[in-house]
Amino acid sequence: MALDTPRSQVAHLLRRAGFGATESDLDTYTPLGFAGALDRLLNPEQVDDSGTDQQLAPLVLDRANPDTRRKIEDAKFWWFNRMLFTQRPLQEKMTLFWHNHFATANSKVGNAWLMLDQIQLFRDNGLGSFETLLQKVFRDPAMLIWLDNRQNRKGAPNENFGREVQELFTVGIGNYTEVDIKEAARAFTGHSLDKDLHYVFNKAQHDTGNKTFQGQTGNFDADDVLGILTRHPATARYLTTKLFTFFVYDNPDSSTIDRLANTYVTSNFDVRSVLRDIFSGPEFLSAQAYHGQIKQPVDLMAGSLKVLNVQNIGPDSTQLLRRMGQDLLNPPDVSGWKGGPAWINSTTLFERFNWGLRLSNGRDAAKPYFADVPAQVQAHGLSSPEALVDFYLGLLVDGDVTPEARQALIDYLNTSGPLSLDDGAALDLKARGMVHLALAAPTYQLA
Amino acid sequence: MSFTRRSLIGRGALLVASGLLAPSFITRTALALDGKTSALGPVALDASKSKNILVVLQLSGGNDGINTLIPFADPNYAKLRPSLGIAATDVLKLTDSVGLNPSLGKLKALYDQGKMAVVQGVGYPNPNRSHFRSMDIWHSAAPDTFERSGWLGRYVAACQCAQDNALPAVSVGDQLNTMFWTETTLVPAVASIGAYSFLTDTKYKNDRTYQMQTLQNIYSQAGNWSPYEGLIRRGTLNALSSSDDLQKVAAAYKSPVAYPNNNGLANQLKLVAQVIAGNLGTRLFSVSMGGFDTHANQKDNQNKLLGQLGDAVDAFMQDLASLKVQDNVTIMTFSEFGRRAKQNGSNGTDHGTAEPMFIIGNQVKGGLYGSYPSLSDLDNNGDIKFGADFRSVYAGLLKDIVGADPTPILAGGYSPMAVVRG
Repeated sequence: MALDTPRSQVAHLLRRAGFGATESDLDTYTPLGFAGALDRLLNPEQVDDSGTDQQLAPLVLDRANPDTRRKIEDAKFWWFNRMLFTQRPLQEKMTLFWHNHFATANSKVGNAWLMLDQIQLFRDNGLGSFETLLQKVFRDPAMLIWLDNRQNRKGAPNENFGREVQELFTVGIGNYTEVDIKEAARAFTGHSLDKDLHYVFNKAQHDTGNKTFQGQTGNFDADDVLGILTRHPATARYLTTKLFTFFVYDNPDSSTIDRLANTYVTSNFDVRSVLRDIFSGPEFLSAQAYHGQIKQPVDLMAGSLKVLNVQNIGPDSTQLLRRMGQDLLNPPDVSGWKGGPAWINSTTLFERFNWGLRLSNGRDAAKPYFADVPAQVQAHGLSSPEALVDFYLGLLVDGDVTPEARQALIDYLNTSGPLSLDDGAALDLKARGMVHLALAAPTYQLA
Repeated sequence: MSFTRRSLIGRGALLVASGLLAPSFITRTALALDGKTSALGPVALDASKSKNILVVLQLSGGNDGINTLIPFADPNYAKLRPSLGIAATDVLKLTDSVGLNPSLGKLKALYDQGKMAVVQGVGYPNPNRSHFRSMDIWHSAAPDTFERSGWLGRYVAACQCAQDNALPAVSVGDQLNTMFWTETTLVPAVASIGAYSFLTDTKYKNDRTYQMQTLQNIYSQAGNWSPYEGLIRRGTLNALSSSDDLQKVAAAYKSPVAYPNNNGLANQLKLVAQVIAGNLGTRLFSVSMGGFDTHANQKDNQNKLLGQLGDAVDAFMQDLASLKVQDNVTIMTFSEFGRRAKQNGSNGTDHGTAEPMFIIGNQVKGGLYGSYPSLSDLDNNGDIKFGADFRSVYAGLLKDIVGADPTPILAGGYSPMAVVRG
């Protein structure tokens, strides 16, 4: 079952390069073939997403009303809806990647507009030149607040951005010295915010003296330093390792990173070229990649909503994400979410399982999280407990569970007497209960 | 009917056909599925300490130690901190040269009662100024290697106390603190006892038994799982086996103490008090508060945080007294680093090195330990030089509170700092 059919390959691609798939997504993408599906994902500007914009228009913060600057929960909700419904899933997945890479938290920024502006910056620039992205992120108001560069002045430097841009955004730990931090901080002086929180360059606050940075000496300004970092060989490896790990699996071989780092350099730091290399490389459809990652909470929630065709979610959805460890627009610190095995502990497992119950219990068509399990059963003409289990395990985990686990779910359906699929009450109890248990399956926690 | 590790692995099939599993069964199943034993080998344990409890309180972001324990009499202090310095008249004086931040009045009271040890200038050689690397160093207690396991995790894995207890330690919060992480033993992370439960459909209450059975049948299956599937399976069994105990504890807990509102640390310490009151044999806890990365506008922010710290610890100490367990519990505070001696241009401080630690409890021999790092002999980065190695503090608490030989756990013979009354 593992990645041996076009449909399972496309499902795997949509789990990684998107937020999972509805049945209808699979029907749309599968005929394109893996290569065609990848092309569609990598070229979001060629996909019309105006329907999503219209659908989400009521959730957009009203910027005519200054009070909405404080509506961070509304901002999170709008974004999660966008992840769920966009027809440009890779663009949005990369927006999330950059949010985690340049991890900025509203806990300090305290301004929903600025947080959404930064997210839009990632959406607009996330597939282009890394150098351009880095320059824009440096001047982004939320970032200027988050890492204090707005207060970084000539003669009185603030090291915060100068340190984290090297440790976390470009070359990585071990590839800079404390002197590099101090010199970078000098080059970043004067880039600040005006009283309306717009970016401003205060020339008088900028240190124009010579700096010695990463082994080079010159009258460097901020873009010189960002340019040196963009071109540093350690950045090519650090960034491509992080991208590969986000999309494929942990601990890639050094030869894989050699290839991707080379693509980063030869493409002039073009993120889209690196992504194409990652998704079309031999690693992506390997056995090691298949169900080889822990699903991050947004993937778990969005994926299950898609499988059950849920069209309406509640504003508490982002609170549920927070409880699973992924508070959107509020990562724990500038290193972002740790990810991987750190998503899993006893508390987050209960949160994941109890989310499954929330969904399998969605009986009221007038309320959020309405999941019409009986209609799905009927639409597919599922006529036996075996067919019911196989249908949902197929959608949720490509059928990737042990035979014993499959049998345990079939046995569950019959625990209150042999299940008759014509019995609406029994179906309401057992089909929903089975969906809850399938959502709690170990492999469903994997991407 | 009993199961050994061999029989579980050997059967490789469904384990239980009917009936709910007892928590101890699940615990043993989880252990069997661990499939590995502690890498340390046996660690000598001191049974006379078996009632002691250690609560590690983490201050995340790098707490400015110089404005926490203030060397107010040193003229360099005012010079290095022209606007950020705290006036000598406001300092809560411990001696004629150092004192506490004015927001720490409640900790000063504990100090005055002889219940708080203040260890000055704690750090380690070749300090790392990255939040993440330095926090890893404090968690692993291994500055020179990229050891992934945590110092208390290594104790839990070695002490065999997880054998029939799913809750030998609790990491409070929705992320497992890496000081508890090991490859072999899972420590539960608990953010809220109310939510720490596998919920089932309340419309069909009688169906819960069948659902729980099915879940356990799926999860108890032995197999050659991938590392991540193995982690999910062990984590789930661990969670299920600790859930019922915690639910009972929460229901039984009553306290006359009012914890402060809008204080996340206080909520965490209240959860610790509930688990302690439940007498589940949990001996290690971690709690944490963040916000200490004060690169700009430090004074108000840090003062507020330190005030919350004092309020939370004070309420917790009162609660421990009302539960009559005040003699068993010791608190240790730490942060990943202190901050630069000289203030920066933003009325804040950049990342630095050594810091003070507080050890609090009725068993603690109160007073000042070590010496204050000199403000006139800074390293070439402008940071204070550490005097006491944090591993000596850990060693003292392992020996005198936890009751374990610190040498194998800390991979070295660090002289245990004696902050506990003999």
